[in-house]
Order: sequence, then C-alpha cells, then structure tokens
Amino acid sequence: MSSMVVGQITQAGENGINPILEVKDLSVHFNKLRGTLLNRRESIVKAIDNVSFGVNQTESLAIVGESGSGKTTLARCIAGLNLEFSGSIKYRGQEVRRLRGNRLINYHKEVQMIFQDPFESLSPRESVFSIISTPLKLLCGENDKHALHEKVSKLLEEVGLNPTAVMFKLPHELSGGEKQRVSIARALAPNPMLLIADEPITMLDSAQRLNILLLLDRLKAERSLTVIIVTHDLASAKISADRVIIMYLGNIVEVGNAGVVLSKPYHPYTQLVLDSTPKLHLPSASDKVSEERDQGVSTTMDEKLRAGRGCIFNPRCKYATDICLQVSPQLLEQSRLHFAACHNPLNKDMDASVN
Amino acid sequence: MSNVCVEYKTRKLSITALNHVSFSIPNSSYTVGIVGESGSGKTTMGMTMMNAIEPPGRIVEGNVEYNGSDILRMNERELRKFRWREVSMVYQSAMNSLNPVKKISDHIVEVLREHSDMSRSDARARAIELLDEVGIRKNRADDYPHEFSGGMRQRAVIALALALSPKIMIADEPTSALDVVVQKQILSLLRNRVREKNLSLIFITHEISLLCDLVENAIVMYRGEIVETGPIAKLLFDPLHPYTEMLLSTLLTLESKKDNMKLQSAREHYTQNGENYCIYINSCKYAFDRCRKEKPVLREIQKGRAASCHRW
Repeated sequence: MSSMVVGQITQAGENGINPILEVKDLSVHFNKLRGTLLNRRESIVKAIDNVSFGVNQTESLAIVGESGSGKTTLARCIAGLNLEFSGSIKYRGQEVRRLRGNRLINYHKEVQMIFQDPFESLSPRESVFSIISTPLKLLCGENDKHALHEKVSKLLEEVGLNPTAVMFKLPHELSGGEKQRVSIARALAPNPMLLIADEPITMLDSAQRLNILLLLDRLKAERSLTVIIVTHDLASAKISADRVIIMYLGNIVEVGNAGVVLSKPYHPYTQLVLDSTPKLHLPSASDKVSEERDQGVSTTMDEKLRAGRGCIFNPRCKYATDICLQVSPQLLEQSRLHFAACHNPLNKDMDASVN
Repeated sequence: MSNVCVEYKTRKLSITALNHVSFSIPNSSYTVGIVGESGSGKTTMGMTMMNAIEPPGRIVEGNVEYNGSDILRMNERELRKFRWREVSMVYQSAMNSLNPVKKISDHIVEVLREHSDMSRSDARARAIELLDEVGIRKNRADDYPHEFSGGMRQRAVIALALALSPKIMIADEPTSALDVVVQKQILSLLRNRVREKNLSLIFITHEISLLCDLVENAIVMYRGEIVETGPIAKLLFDPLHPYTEMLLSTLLTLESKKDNMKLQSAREHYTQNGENYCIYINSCKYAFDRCRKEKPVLREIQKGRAASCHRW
C-alpha cells in the first residue's frame, strides 16, 4: 500500500488531467475574544486547519461536512472572498492572493459562486435583470442596453426560466426554486470555468432540490464547467459529484471517489454521517442495533470537543485506541485514490479478503 | 378538526391556505406526520390546532374541537390554559425562538410558574430535571441560548414543550436547520419522549423520509388540501395519490441513481384552486377527462387509507 500524503493528490489524479485549482496547506484561523473587559483572553478558532487538495478540470467535487466543519469558509477562500488565510490557493498555476488588476478581474470572471440562501443572497430591491446584468457590466464591460437584454434573457432561458415573465420581477415575487435559478444565472453571466455552489439546495423543497441538481448537472456538461459543491447532504453529494472530500472540524478526514467513499468509507466519521442520513425504509431490527451503537457516540458539536492531541475525532470515535489519543493520523492513501486520516480505518478487512 | 378553511388576505388578493381540511387524532399516543412542499399549508394546519392564526390570516370556516370543547370559541384566558398544558408546539426555527437574554433554565421556570403555583426553587428543580431528560446536563442549564449549539437549543425547546406534560405535541419542522447527525439524535429523542409519555405527536415536515421510523400515520398535503392519508408503511411503498408518488420519486437517498432521476415540473407559482377540477391536474401524469370536469374528494380507498384521486 502506498502511503502518499494528500499534497500529492493532484498528481495522483488521472494522468493527463490538469488540476484547475490547487489548495495547499490552507489554514484559516479566527481570533475570538473571550472573558471580561479587563480580563480579556484571545482564543483561536481553527476554521480550516492545514487543508490540501486539488480540483481537476471538468470534475465535480463535493465538499461535505457538518456545520462548523469549515466547508463554507473553504469555499469563500477559493472564491477570493476571504483573503485572511495562510497557505496557498493556486488557480491554473497562479497564486490567487497575488492577483491584481486585470488578472484579478479575470479570476473573478472565471470563478463564480452560488450562495447558500437565495432568500438572502439576492438584493430585494434589484430586479432580476439588474441582478444578472451587474456582473456582465462590471466583469465583462458590457454596457450596451440591447446586448445586455439579450444576454440576460439567454441566461434565464438556460436555467429554465421564462425571460419575459421574470426579467423585471423583484426577488420576493419569485419562489425559492426560481430565486436559486436566478442566482445560478447570475453566477453563469461572466462565463465562468469553475463554479462553487455553497449548499445550493439546502433551502429548497425536495422536488425543487432535484431540479436544481439536475440543472447544475446539465450546465456542467454543456459548458464543461468544473463544479465544487459544498453540502452537508450525502445523498445529493453521491448523485452529483465524481469525488468527495469529507471535512471534520476544519480537517479533511477522507477523500475519494464519491461512490466508493459513500458506500465503503474508511473513516468512522463518514460512517457516522452515513448512518444518520435519513433512509426510506421502515424500522427494523438493524435500526435498534445502530441506535445502540450510537449511544456511545457523542454528537454535540462543540469547540471543547476538539481533542488537545491525537486524532481530532477521538472524543466522538467509538473505535478510538491508544494511538488515536496520542498521534494525529495523516491523510494517507488507503487504497487507490481513496485517502483517509485514520489509524484504524473501517472496512479495511473487507479489502484484504477481496485481495 | 373538521372542515376548516383558513385564508390569508392582503389588499390585492386573498389566498386560501387551508381548503376544507378535516383531520382527527382518535386516541392518545397517536403519531402522525404531515408532509407537503412549502406553501402547502402544513404550518397553517399546526397553527390552527392551537388557534394561533394571526391577521392577515383568518379561520373562515369550520371548527376545531379538543375533547369536546371548541378551541376557536375559547377566550384568551381559556386559550392560555389550553396551550402548553394540553397541546404544545415546537416551532420551525427553534434556534431563534428562545429569548437571547434569558438563561435556558429560566425559559422553563417561567412557563412552569405561569401555569402553576410552583415556587421558584421547585420550578427550577423541575426545569433541571426536564433538561436532563433531553440530555442537557445540569452545569449547562444556566447558559444563555447563544452558548448552545443548534442541536442543544432544539433539545431545550423540546424540554420546554414537554414542561407541562401536554397530551399532544406539534413539532413543526424541528430539524430542518440541523445537520444529519444531530437531526437523527433529535428524532430519536422525540421518539423516546413520545413513547415514554404516551404523547400524541404531530410532526410537520417536507422530508417524507424523516417520517419512516418516527410516526405511524401520514397526511400528505398539496395546496392547502389533504390529498392522501394512511399508515406510513403503506403510503411509502404504494402511494395512492400521484402527488405522493412524485414526492417519493424526487427523494434523494443514498440509494438513488442519477439515471433514474427525472425532471419534475413542480408548481412555481401560486394559482387559485379551481372548484371543478382536480388541484393536481397540471402536474399529473395520469390525468384523464374526469379530472378536468370534477374535483375529487378525499375518500376511503383501502381500509384506513384515503386519497383524493379519481383513479381509484
């Protein structure tokens, strides 16, 4: 078994595919003031802690984790909205933080983000036309009214909206699904190469969720986009992504092919989330077993739960052994292109018997 | 609750949120889930049961009875007694329904003292007991809501709803803002509480998959009307109404395959329900002549199962 650190993951990708984005040793720490006025202490929240990964051209990558795992912060860093980080983010070989002038504008053109909550991310006082034409004006320098009108209606059609019906409506006149389509159209306006979708379906109904996922899927194929989907929902990650990154408290705990990671995970955290995902079946004996198994696992998210040393997951891990309390596990390639940071990976024995 | 209509009136238009809805809880420890997309009237239904509809909403028709007394005719004082003691509600955004400048324990103390003549110290002891039942330890009881995580706040709200041992608990999307791991915990907490205390539970959600191992019965709502009711086990695997079928087919689970996924033409805009045709007609793949001419009524199709569809 090769033991390769994840910094090399991009090289480990299929040969011939270039990484469009490379993230290396990325850390984001927030300082938090605690205590009284006179007795002030600073405590550091490690939102992202030494994260490295690569994104291949035209792949779709899901970043999965619970709230507080740093997934949104990571997305914001990549989109260039948060520059307070250490480490490096390279887009097509260029350090994102050093981009200035036209190169920076170009970066913003090529890397666009769809935000979590369409109810809040669209300005309530701007019409759909104005929302979508703003990036065209600012990033693409398009100022001709007719051309703008034409481009906006083309974009609206592309996301499945009727341009004449919605063009001059305000966001509150649209349903949740329509609003999310408008924010997708806005993100597509400057013709991006990399689309970052931060929980694009969390706020929607199940039928709408599916529609938006299928829309993203279609757009990805038509425009040969690279898509990063940030989500906490494993089911949607499994459907829409080629590869998944599982994050826990600012660390990557598992990376690999979506189908493999989500059916045969190595990391106990991935297993925990998988077990918790609602399934369409009736209570059976196996549920009782899994319930009993859960009892030992504390699931409260708490900064205090961050272990002082050893594996970050050890306070919640039911398989933790002595080494887990002492040594922090490295993200290692456990099987081909499937990385996990765990001393006692699950489902490993099964592999051995297969081999 | 029988034949209830609720409408929301604005200057421009009035919207019928509930259209002749009837529904009953036959006995104690009856658990039912109400499913539907946003705007289908599920929350309005929960609010109606508490007589908590506020203007611009108005209960136009029908009555809601609890043990023979009409809730809609109760005055403010009777209502105060009825709410919390008999029926309590866990709200959708429990994260925000706690008072930020009050300690968690004080929320419960206040409810207890308001509804009984408990002394402060007794109420406090009881509050700590209640919090302990939902898994919040004593040393956290005096924390403020912002010091709690989302899941803990949700537990606190459940403890609050259980404070006066109500007979019925209405939970309105209690987990929609939470992570799956926490969600599962809250659901199993609810399930245990309901079992131990012989509670009746009305669980309102838009995710049908949550109901599987929580409730026994389900009600599917669409545009302010009940389109299907029945035991959850039957409803999930053999839906009678095409809308239920659609809900189930769009469900994303770990077993779903991308290839089987079809685009769903979901309703995007509110339109007034017609009087003489089926409300689901525009999205229904089985629609035939009769569906355009006659509005189907909710009627029993198999034993214990009802649907409003002409196909049966």
